[in-house]
Amino acid sequence: MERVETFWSKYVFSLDHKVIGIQYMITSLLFLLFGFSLVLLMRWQLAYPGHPIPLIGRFLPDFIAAGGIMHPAAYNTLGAMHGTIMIFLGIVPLGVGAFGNYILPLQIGARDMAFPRINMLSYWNYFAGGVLMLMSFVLPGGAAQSGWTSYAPLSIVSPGQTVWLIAMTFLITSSLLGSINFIVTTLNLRAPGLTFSRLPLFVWAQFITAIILLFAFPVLQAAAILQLLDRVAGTSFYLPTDLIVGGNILDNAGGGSVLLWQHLFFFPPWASWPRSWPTARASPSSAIRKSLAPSPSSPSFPSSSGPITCS
Amino acid sequence: MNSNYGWWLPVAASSYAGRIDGSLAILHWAMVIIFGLWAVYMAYCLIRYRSSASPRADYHFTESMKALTPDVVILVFEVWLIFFVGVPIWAHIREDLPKPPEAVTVGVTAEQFAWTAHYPGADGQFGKQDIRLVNAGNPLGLDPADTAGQDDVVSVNTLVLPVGKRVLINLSAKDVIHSFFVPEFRIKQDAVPGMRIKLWVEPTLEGKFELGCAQLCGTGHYRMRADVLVKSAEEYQKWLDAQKKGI
Repeated sequence: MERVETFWSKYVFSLDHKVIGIQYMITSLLFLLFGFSLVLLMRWQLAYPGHPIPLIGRFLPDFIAAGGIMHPAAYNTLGAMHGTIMIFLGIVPLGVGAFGNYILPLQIGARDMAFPRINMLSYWNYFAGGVLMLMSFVLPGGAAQSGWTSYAPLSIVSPGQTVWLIAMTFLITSSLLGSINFIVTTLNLRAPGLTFSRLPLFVWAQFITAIILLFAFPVLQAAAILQLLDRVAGTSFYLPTDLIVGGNILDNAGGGSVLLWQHLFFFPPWASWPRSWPTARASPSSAIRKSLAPSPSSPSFPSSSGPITCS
Repeated sequence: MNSNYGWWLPVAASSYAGRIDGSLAILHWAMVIIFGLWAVYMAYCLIRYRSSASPRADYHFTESMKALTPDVVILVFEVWLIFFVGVPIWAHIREDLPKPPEAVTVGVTAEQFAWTAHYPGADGQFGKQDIRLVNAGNPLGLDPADTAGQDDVVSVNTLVLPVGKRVLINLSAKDVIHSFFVPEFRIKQDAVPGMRIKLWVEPTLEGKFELGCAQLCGTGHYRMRADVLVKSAEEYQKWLDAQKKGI
């Protein structure tokens, strides 16, 4: 290593897997603390609904807590952002980014990860996504308030979701870069004689996790970009024909499928924990077929007896 | 209404509620038994393999089939639970739909943040609906020119059902995903915009129950609830007759 190390190259834009692991650890622990304090606010609201939030209530702007009393939309924001931050900015980077980066090369006898620059890029994508998530709290429209699952059409007609989707794109990019790195490192940089049957369980776990991420996250990323287009470009991938929101007909809605988002979002196997299963159980394939069929020329409200059937 | 919610399950008020509660009972008793057995086995292992009596660890495991016995027992139990208990109940609820003349048919449309019930009236025919006719006084967009709709009854946030009769519900949503949840009926079904989903219920108890939205649907999600009033056949008819017809 002939590189001349400065403070910046050693501790900030580092290529060293241990330093990057520590960067991941510090950042994700800070996010965990922040996500945890969001849920404290939710617990306060549940315990004392309609009472002013103690200590910080008076400092919050009116659209979050007028007179210190939490607004319902702010409660939904807390729920969505708590879930997002704990999972995408806390647990996943801590488990994979921090422990994986630090320990995996040591356990297989490698000097570093296979692609140190990609490793750095992975961390800084994660950092950018995290900062964007935090910034969304103070941007116009506020932070996301449609749940950490961002179900369409709610996520398309509610404020705050655009920045969430962009930030998610950064986070997914980070995870994908990381998973490529883990797979290549495990396959190619094992010490001589360290066969797969002798690999430590931790390396096996990281290796399999990386493969699952690599299969699952491109789907999520594509789905998120489609939802972003639905929000900002007037497309209707997830908007079926004839939506009326707040009494107004949604002009750009038509031909899309609500359940398509759920199938794409829940493709990632890690998200198949029973608690996060989508509750919709109505034959989704027919909805997708319908979404591919040409939409009727005259509006057809999903009426009490109309032609749209699903059982 | 809230007296239905205590330490245990709310009162069972539909024909299939008992079967669902039965499967829950099987599941919970199985958990108790399995937990108890494993606790006993752990205690046995703690004593049998204590440090003074400990045999040497054996890495060449020869009795792997024997060690798999508990897994096989659990697997058989789970397969039985899913395919012989769960699926028949599920099929009964999802597929044994009542046919319209015999059953009472009600349309339920969810929106931010209300439930609107739609009864076809004496002719048994739902009136034509059009999205462009929707306004505050006509939440379902009923077409006043359609004769089938002139005896229809539209009821906001009150769903009245006759006791002891099978009711077919056509569930839909106007804007975002909602979820139709009546705990006493043991039914929960998403209302998905762009889809019309059929579900059915046969109420077995008269009374007032709460229909709550069970899927985050926006700022007013927490207050999106309706009354479900289960009445005797005569009371139900009396209620229907007293409602305003058409639009």
